[in-house]
Amino acid sequence: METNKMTTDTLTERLQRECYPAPDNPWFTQRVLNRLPARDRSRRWIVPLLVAAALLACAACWGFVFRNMCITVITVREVIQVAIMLIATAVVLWQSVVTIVHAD
Amino acid sequence: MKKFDELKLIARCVLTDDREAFGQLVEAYQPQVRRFLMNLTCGDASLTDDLAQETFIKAYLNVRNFKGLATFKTWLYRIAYNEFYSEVRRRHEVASLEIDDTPLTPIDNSAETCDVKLTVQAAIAQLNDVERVVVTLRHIEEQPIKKIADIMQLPENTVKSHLHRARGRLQQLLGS
Repeated sequence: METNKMTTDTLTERLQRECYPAPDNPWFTQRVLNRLPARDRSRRWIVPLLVAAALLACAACWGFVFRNMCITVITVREVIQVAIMLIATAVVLWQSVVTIVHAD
Repeated sequence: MKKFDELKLIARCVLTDDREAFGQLVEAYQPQVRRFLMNLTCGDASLTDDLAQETFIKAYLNVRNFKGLATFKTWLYRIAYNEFYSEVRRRHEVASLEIDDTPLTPIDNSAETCDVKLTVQAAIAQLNDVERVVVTLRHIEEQPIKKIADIMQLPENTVKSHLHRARGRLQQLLGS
């Protein structure tokens, strides 16, 4: 079947080289977007709800971390927990800003 | 486009009707969809763009039905194939579909290149609709048999059978 495989590969190569190419059309995407129906405004509440839920969850996690933290003695585990929480908070805040900016 | 980025854009479309996200999806996939349709329509650029626009509009309207089991590209190919077939059925209802194998305007003016391009493009035009779809998906869009079967909603063995027949015809027509 080696011969068949070579013939198939040759055929593929030739078809890809000589087939009809996609015609150049820089306005295609804009035309599609212009033809879309009017925006569905009934889903506008989703973005603020998601952002609020994410921030609440973040605040709850911070509350959990501080509640279990001993102020007099700082352990390595607590340092790691706070570091993870700082990164997670930064990500949540960044995504919230990006989501709100993109929403409308 | 990476699967994760694709899913993020789809999620934005579904949750917030984000047109910018949908625009990015169109921009990413329109060359492949338009090339696929261009080869199915045997070089009809106007019909290709009409069908491609309908494909993306249907994709937008049904994006909530996209389950993520297949890739978004496979899903788009399926919509594009359905649009092409609807058009074929519509034309059959009005008149018999004529395969237009008159020469295309060549991409460059070299007579030699013109002959080579005509031979391949005219050969594709000689295939029937099903064979043309299968050959285009397999050899030009490089889709595996399983995905072709999914796109065309046919059993894999049927796809293999069509492909085998189409390859035989093409090799005869191209003189390979």
